[in-house]
Amino acid sequence: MQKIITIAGKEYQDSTRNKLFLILLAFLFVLTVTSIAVASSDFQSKVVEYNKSVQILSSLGKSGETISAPQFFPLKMLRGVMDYLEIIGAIIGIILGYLSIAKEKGKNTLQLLLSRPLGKFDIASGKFLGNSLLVLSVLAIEAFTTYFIMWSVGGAQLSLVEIAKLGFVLLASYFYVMFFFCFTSVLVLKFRSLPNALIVSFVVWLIFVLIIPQIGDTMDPDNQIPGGFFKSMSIAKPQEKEIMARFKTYETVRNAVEESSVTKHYERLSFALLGIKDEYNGKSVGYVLKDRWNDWVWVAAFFGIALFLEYFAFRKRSFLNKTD
Amino acid sequence: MPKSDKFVIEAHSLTKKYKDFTALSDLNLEVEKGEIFGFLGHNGAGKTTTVNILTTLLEPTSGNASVCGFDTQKDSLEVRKRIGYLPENVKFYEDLTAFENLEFFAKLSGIREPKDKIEEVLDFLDFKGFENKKLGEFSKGMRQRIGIAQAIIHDPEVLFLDEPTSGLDPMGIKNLREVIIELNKKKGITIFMNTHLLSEVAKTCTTIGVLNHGKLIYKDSLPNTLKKFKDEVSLEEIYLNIESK
Repeated sequence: MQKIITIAGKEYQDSTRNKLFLILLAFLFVLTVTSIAVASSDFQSKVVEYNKSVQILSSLGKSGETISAPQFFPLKMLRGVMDYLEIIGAIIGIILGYLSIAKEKGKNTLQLLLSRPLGKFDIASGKFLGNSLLVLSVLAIEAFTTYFIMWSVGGAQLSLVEIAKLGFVLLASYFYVMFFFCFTSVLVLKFRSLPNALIVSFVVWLIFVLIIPQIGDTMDPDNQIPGGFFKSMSIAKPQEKEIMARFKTYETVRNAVEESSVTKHYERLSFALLGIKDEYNGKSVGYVLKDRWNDWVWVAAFFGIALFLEYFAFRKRSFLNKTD
Repeated sequence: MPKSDKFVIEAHSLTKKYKDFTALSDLNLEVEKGEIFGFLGHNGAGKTTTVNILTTLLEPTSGNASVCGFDTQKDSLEVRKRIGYLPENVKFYEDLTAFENLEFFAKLSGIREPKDKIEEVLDFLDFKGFENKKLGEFSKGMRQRIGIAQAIIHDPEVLFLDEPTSGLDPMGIKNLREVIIELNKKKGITIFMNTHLLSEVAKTCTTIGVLNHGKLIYKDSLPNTLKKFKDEVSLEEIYLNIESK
């Protein structure tokens, strides 16, 4: 275990000293702070507006209860943050995965590590542990910053249920970022050319993060008109479902396209937990997790398979199969 | 379980294939304890593949090998405890100091408090005063010394060096040669060295082996070799003579 911790410590130290990683991190935090500050300010103005309306009614001698209090869901303010995590979080995973292996391959230190009296999986475990801690630290700081701005700018207080939901989103984010970490690590281990491995990683990122979700959104009939096709046609939910039932095959194909992307599963899961999808607003954690179990399984499966492949790649050592 | 005391390195019918290419073919090799073994061969002869198998980095396609009496496949952990390895053109972690580099590799070798050991090794290599400099500031020769230091930090019985003099200037080569001979004489480490430089073999090695297209075509002690080929004026001519046969 001591040797795994030694490798993990070095991984953590190396990444926190890497300029590219630090630039990406700064970029993510600037976007997060901006997004959450704007959303919090908007949230605060809605609260002020409601309080003013109640005051006006009171001054007119009417009860404030005649207007129903709007339902504020502070976690919805994280919409922008989730978009950035989907895109930049994945890039951070790719960069960490690339740096973790490329630094050893490029300097021939991988042979040095492998010639040490380490267990079969110690190197893979050390690298995974070090980068896991780093990703968790980043996500924890991201969550704390978000919470602080929501509280200080928006005056929003999170309930225990909302904090629990945020916790599950963090866990899903960890799986999501570490999927890209493990996947890129495997490619860098397998490819002889380091730049080629990085290019393929970004092609996969492009397909998962941008292309597949875009195809799915384009195929969605409800997305053909801003604000939603059915809503603009004043078609109620039950009727909408009835209509869509006639396009079952089309919907199955569209869904299958979306489900092939880890990003889409991560988005569906986090949007449900944060209540960005209105139908999940005010629902319990248990309800959301149960309803979106499919997305949980997929996100965890993508991560689990990539992790297995990383360990397998280290075990096989096929990256050393070259002639002198 | 250890197999024999006389030979620290034994390879039996070692073959390594990469798809259609045979890197090593039926290699049989024995290296005695205390030797400085020079492993000669042209580029692509299979020298690095042999070292990679002996250091447990690669598995042979067929055959077996043992180091310090332990099978490289079945007891790979035991083998790795007893060997030091310096691959060709290793650059180490340039943003870490010499001390930090050595500390990292020492901890991976199971040394929990490596400070004293690092000082001892640096003292042996006459490298004191440089431990707090980053490796990025070092010359190639100085890096090779750090390479040797990381390889011997855990007191190995066998040291594998893959083209250790590659890219060094004449002074660097001379210094490294002296280090290798001292390691062998003072610490009793058996040295297995892949090299191209025949002049270095003549000045450093006690035994030579010549590998050609994955096959060991010659092996004998250096004095015997010089006796056998007494008509040849240099080791280079001896090598060319052996290769041509």
